[in-house]
Amino acid sequence: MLTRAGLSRRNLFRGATSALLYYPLMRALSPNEAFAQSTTNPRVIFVSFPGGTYTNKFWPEGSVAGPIGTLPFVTSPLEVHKSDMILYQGYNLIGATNHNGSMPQVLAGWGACSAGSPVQCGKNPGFPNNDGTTTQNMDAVPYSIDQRLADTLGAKSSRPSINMGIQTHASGNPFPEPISWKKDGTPNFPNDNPQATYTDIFGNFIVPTGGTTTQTTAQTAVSTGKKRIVDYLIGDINRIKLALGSHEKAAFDAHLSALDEINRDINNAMTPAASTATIGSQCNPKSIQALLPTDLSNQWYMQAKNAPAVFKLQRAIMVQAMACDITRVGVWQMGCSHQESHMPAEGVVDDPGTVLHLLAHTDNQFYANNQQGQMREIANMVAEMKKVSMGDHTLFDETLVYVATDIGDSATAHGGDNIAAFMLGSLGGKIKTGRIVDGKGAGYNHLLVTVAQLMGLTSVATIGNTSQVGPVKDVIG
Amino acid sequence: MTKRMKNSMKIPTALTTLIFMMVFSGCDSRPGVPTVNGQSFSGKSGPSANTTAAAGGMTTGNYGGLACPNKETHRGIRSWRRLSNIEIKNTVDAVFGSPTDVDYSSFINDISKAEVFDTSMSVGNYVSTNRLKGYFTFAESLAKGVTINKLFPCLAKGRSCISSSLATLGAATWRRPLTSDELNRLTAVYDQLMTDGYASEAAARLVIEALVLSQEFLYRSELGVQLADGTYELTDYELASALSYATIRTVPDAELKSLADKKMLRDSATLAKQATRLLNLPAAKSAWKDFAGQWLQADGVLDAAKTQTAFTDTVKTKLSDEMKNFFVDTMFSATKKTYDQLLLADYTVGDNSSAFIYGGTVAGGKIQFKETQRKGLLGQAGFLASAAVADTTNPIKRGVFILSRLMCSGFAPAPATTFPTVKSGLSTKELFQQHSQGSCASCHKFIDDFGFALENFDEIGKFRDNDAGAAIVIKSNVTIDGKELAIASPDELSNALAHSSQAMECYARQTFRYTLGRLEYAAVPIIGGTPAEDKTTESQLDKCQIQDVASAVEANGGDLKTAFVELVSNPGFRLRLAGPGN
Repeated sequence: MLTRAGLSRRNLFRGATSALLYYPLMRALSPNEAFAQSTTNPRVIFVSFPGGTYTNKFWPEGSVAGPIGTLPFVTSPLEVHKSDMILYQGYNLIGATNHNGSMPQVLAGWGACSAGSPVQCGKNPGFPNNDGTTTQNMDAVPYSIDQRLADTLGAKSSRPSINMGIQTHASGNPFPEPISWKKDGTPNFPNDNPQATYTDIFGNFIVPTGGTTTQTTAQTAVSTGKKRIVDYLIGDINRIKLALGSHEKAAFDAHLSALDEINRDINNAMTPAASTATIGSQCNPKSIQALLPTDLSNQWYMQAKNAPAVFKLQRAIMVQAMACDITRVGVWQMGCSHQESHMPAEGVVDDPGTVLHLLAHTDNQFYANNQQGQMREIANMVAEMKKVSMGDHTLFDETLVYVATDIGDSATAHGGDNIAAFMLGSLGGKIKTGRIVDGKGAGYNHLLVTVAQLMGLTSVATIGNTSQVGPVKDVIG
Repeated sequence: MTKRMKNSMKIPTALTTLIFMMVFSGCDSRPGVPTVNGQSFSGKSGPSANTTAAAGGMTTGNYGGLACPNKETHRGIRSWRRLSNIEIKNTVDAVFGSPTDVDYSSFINDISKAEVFDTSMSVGNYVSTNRLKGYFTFAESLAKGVTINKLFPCLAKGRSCISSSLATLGAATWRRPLTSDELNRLTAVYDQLMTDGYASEAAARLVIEALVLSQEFLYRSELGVQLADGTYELTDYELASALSYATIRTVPDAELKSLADKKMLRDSATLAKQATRLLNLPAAKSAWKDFAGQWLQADGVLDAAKTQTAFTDTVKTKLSDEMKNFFVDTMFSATKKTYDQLLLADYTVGDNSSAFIYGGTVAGGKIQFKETQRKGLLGQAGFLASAAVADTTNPIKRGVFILSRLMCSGFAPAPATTFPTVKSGLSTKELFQQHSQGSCASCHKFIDDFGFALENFDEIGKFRDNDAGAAIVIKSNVTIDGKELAIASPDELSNALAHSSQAMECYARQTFRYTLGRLEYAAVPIIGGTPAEDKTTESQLDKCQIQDVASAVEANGGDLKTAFVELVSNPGFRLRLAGPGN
């Protein structure tokens, strides 16, 4: 291959895809076709961190649209990835959140809702906000961006999406607060237990040999046995459907939906779809086992002392799941809005006497330490993806990482203004990175539409609320 | 140490304590919030029971027969309940003989956020994909570890053995006899696996997986059978399980099974008699320790980090056990078995490891309190330490505990507001009094005074008579039973709650929530807001049952067991209406 002097392989790759993106013929293709030709196998990872942040610790001093200045304390671990970053500022959530209903806004743009759990909001669109207003123009149910992509992009891999969480089921948390919502508006809870996630995803995984073909995720015998059981269970549970009222039916639907997902996973394992995916050079899930603690009892993953290990494990699982092409859509939910527990990442000096949610209410060093630890995990994940070779480029070149929190930049007041959010990755040069994009008070949901369109869902004009139409033009062009 | 030095050391304290202001002005997280009771379950609200024209209708949206004072008219609401993790484990132990290598590690925590009890069937406790995957892991390990010849003694005979053995194993696992259709369907799984090429034993193990992954194992049906008048009556097997899991958290024992087989459980007198019998079983104490632990958030102290080094992990564990043991010691006492004892006992249940907090004497597994101001639950270090922060007390947390757990109050949503500026050199009370002004006051004027009344107990529960160098003077005004009371010492607050009808009714509510596995539709008092009205039939139904239970407890001198016995003998336990939306 002829290359211009001074042009790295990676930049070449970026340049090539950029050229494709602007190729006039693309306008005539359907969105998915266009997208298929614009990159190789795009992946996306969504990360949420809880509780909002403080301006001076998250954005560079005097932050304005344009190049990113020196990142301050919380975001400092991302300094090394700054050239791959779009740092957003000036995008506002709908309503005054104060926790309630803010989590469904992170990826579903859905809310706000104050006086109850998101599920209650689901039954009461237009529920009054804390400030007494009522949110208008909400979609009937939340349908998050990750699940929209899982339902499209995810069909190309054995798992439409994987969803992990750090202590999202902590007992003190007041609501079930997932950020991921399925098409029918039901919550898609993350799994807090990395050992269970590992077993689930890689338990029967065989690293494919021979390079770039599809992989087998389960042994046929195991799959067959499970398949028979699941077939039986689906038939079994459907027998009682008519006996249930609407109250019980919600539980029934959740159960049946879970069975359907397991059934789908088994089917995928038994008859893997043809894939053109490249398996990353570092696809080696067994390496994760060494990270598991020896004592797996007593919900070890919910204990503060094990939080650093959980971060590390989930980070490794996410990278491996992408490198091995298990999935192309990942969700990593670091806690909940109302996090009543301790979840320090590695190296964090925490206040053992004050849970994370309470720390969030003042601009203090312990809270900043926690958030810096969360950013460090993201930075490390990106660094690891940059090491995974996918032929002539890296896994990171194919991946967009979208990060956001659920509360505005004055965590003291817990409002919804100026949400801390950023993207890492250029999808092979498709996105102009290394800059701050200022929404100047625009709606946060535009960011979600932007991700949707970048990932190929170009017909998606709104997410969560029909009043916020279109992507961030400065990013999409 | 000078006062100034002490005050300067209190700055981090002040910071952390003030942080709590927003939390507990954000009262939405407490159980019993009106939206929970009034809206989350009710896709449709039924007309008022008092105004429903179609008397005799038997759905919650159309039941005109309810007359609250006449409990024969009470009806419950049908339900379909997932077993809690503990109940699954107990059931496996009972059916499969306590197998050792069962993997429960992938179970999802089933205490659902704002819900109080692990029995609660709410959205957070539904079977999600992750929860179901956890069940698959458990089922696989169970099936792998069982002694297959014990469960299928005639396995060498193949299909005929599977069919016959499944009748016994299935009935034990599902807590009721299987229908022939159910047996055929399970046997068909075995047949299919054999066709797939599995060996007989491997196929049998997979059938065991199917048995414990079935909704018939994972859930308890309380759907009943429809009677001629439209009411649903729980079957004898449903009643046997409902009684059994509530009292001993596992499968019905031989006597219950026998009564169910004979169809003799469907009357209130028998249910009351069986409830009383079950409560006398040793396993009942363990089960009701679970109830107390969840109701009183006893495990909260396990995560309570303190600057006082004597407050070790061992002490925390002891204090958590202490709250649970104290409750069952009272409930199952021959003499001191009444509700007021929970609040007025001058002792707790514990040993020397936590006695240093109380400064009292230890004898016979009990610690006699030293100070007269310390009484019952409000004097227990487990509560006092968990409802505090690392280096000081937190009147809000203590107030919220009392209001939500002991008085079943809900809270109005918090306004979005900026935290007040922390000032140094103030006592805890002075710090917290800052939000008796402004938008915070609408809630906190009702909450904080409960906590201020307990300022004689420090962050680990030790008695003290001064704070920040100043003498502690208790001067609280609390609202109990709708009346404002002046409180001048911690024991006065304990005494007021011990004789409060609202607190007694709250205990009835907690028993209702735990036993029936749901929050009640009946409205709760709202701090900083207006209670919802009991307009719907379901809220009326629940309200009547709760009042019946509370009245029975009161009539029986506050006897704690009476709440459960009355609840299960109320016709609403046995006769159910179709739920909302049916």
